[in-house]
Amino acid sequence: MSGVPKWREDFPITWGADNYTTRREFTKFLVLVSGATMLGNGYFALDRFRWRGESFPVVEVARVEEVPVGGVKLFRYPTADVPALLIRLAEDEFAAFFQRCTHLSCPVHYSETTGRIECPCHQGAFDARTGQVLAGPAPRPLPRIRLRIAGGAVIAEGVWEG
Amino acid sequence: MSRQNGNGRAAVLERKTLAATALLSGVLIVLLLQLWLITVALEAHLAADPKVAVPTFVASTVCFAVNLGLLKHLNTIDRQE
Repeated sequence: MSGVPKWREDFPITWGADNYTTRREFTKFLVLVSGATMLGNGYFALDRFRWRGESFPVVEVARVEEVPVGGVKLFRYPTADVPALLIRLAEDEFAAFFQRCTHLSCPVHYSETTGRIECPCHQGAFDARTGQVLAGPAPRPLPRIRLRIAGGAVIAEGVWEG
Repeated sequence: MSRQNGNGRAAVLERKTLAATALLSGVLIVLLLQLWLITVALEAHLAADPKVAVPTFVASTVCFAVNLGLLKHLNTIDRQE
C-alpha cells in the first residue's frame, strides 16, 4: 500500500472509507471553528482591560438652573457615541445614566409620573436614583455616571463600577 | 486470503468510523458550549459589563484545549492500520 499517494486516501471509492474521511475532515473543521471562537472570547477579554485602563473625561454636562426638578437633559458621555441621560430628582439631587437599556440597547427615558427610567421596547424599568432593575427583562442595572456639582455646574467625572 | 484481508480492513475501517463519529460528537458538544460562552461575552460586552469577559475566555480556552486533545486522538486513530 506504500505506493498509494497520501492525497489518494482523501478521495476514497468505497462508502465506508468515504464516511470515515468526511467525519474526520468535519471534525478538523469544527476544531478550527473552536479556535476562532476562543479568539473571539479573547477579543472581549482584551477589550475589558482597555475599558478598565480608560480614563473618563471630566466635562460639564449642564448648568444647575438649566434642568428643572423632575426634568431631563440628554448629553453624550464619555464619548460622542454614547448617549446619556441627566435627571434632576430633587432641588440638589442629580443622577445620570447611560441611555442604553442593558437588555437590547433600546434608548431608555425618564418618566416623571412613575419616577422611573423606562424602556419602551420590552416594558423594562429602572430605579431613577440607582439604576437598579425594577421590571422587565434587563439583566443588569443601567451604568451610572459619577456626578459632581461645582460652581453651579453639573460635572460628569466617570462611571460607577459594578 | 485476499477476501479475509478485505474483511479485516473493512472491520478496521468500521471501528475507525465509529471512533471518528464519537470524537466528532464530543467536539460538537464542546463547540456548542463555546458558542454559548461567546454569546454571553458578547451580550455583556454590549451592555458595557466587563465582569464575565475573562472567565468566559478562560473557559473557552479550556474548551479549545479539549478539542485539540480530541483532534490529536483522531489523528492517532487515523494513523492506525
